[in-house]
Amino acid sequence: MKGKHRIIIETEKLKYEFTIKRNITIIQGDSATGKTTLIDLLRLYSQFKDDSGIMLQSDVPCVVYSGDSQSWNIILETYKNSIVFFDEDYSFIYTKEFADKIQNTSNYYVLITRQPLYNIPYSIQEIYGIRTTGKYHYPDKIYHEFYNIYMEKQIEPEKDVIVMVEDSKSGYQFYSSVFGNNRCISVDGNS
Amino acid sequence: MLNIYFGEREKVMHGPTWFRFNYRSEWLADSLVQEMMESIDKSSYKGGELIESEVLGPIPPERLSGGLQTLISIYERPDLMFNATSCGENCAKWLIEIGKRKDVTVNLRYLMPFDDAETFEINILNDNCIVHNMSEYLELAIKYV
Repeated sequence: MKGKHRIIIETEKLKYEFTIKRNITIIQGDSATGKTTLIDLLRLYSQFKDDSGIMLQSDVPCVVYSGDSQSWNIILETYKNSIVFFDEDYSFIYTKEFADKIQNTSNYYVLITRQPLYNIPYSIQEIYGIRTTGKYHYPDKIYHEFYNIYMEKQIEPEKDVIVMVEDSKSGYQFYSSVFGNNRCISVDGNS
Repeated sequence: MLNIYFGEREKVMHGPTWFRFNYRSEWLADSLVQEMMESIDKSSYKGGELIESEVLGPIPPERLSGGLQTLISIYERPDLMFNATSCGENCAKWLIEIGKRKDVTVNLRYLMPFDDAETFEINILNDNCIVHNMSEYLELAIKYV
């Protein structure tokens, strides 16, 4: 599967609208923002389709992993060209076996977790929180959107920082990009 | 005091699941539980099993957020160890508050920031060391998450 996929899921009281851009997307953030409700809506839509009263707009199937913690390897093989959502607390998503498995499938994966995933390469730009927009309160419809957690945080150090890196190539290029050219100096080491 | 074990451990309860099948109605009448409910879920307790959510309208306790359900479980059942990873960053100050009132032990698998409080007392059980501010906390916690 390639490209971006716009997803809208709504009921008469709730609406979620977001775009999944890459094969791995992480959702985290504060409690009570609607992460579990999103998963519940997707799970119920998978089960009852339009009879659920839930409306889903997506150009690819959206499924919620709801199998047990032992058979995930087999169950994952049944999903093709889909966006697979995992709610938090499936411990196998932190394993190397899971990381290896999902790299070789046609699906995109959305993982709800605050725990670091050391075995899976993913972009900092694809770590999202969920927020409510507008001034809606019950019984008005509540609109939820994804926001990029780290790109909106501007952390300025308390003091001016100069970063000295040993090399003049990849390390220098990386830290120059992060801190800016005038804050990064290469000491032109040999290694 | 708040005691934290960082990293994966066994015999740790998943707060939202445990709460759903084990909570007691009388817990909801506790003043600290109601403060946490207002702060985290923007909800208020109306009596019995009824909670009014600013976002969802009238809801039962089973529909409180997973983070709040875990906090209530930690507070009401200090004899059990819960996985506080279900608690978002907005739960941090309440974990500190619970630790001031009761001796509780939680498991944590991410770097929860406690920077709302300038000083606190948290026992990091991995090192058996009590930390008193974010600087001391980060120095130890970063090794395990």
